[in-house]
Amino acid sequence: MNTTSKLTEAFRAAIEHPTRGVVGIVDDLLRLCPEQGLRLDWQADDCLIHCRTGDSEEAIDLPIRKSVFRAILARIAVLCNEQRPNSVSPYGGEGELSQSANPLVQFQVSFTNTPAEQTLELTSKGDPNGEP
Amino acid sequence: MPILLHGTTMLRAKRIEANGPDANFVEPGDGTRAEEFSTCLDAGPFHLGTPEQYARRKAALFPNEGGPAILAVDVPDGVIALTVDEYFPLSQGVVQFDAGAGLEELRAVWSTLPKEIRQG
Repeated sequence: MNTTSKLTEAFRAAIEHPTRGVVGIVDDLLRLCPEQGLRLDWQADDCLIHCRTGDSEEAIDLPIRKSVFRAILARIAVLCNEQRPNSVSPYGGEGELSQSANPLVQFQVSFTNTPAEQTLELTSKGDPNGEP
Repeated sequence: MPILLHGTTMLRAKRIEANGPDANFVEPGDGTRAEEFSTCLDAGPFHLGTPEQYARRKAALFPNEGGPAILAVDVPDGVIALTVDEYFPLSQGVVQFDAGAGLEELRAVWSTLPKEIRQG
């Protein structure tokens, strides 16, 4: 199994079998997010995860409820606003957030969370002290 | 019975108060059904944001809807229990009513529930 496949399977496990609700899913997404980034879309009743590592990109679809996907995006908005108050709306925006387990690991975030559209782009900015 | 809060605009709060949550509600200019009804426990925690934040942002998006408002409703434990699963444990403060997960039961008892609208 290549690195991308391992990652997508880890995402699948994190989202299909959460142990700490939506809050835990978001923590896992941030922990697993590769440096090259991650895109999540909601399409046709599925959560589609595009995972980039190196030159490859792999997509997996997960049959979760739309409300779960929207809750994930809402949690992302809260984390952005914890980092910089009022930087994003619950309904979308661009911001930054850090990993709760390692606040030095920063992410650039762009998301939309409206009834009609739900997307998330997450890019790791890495650890300024050199850890990936 | 726990009090649940829903942040929205005054116009929508009054509509929901009178008729119950409407899964078929479509936001102006959107074209997509609401499908669900999101609330939070009044005691928190607010891991997905506060109802005040949702009310203010929604009112800013729809300035002709009377400003921010928070709908508060007492919901029986048995109905809330239908919403709890591995994604939405009550400990995280979110009570998410979806089709097949409490929404129909909430609508069925809605007219009997104590409720009020607060300024957002």
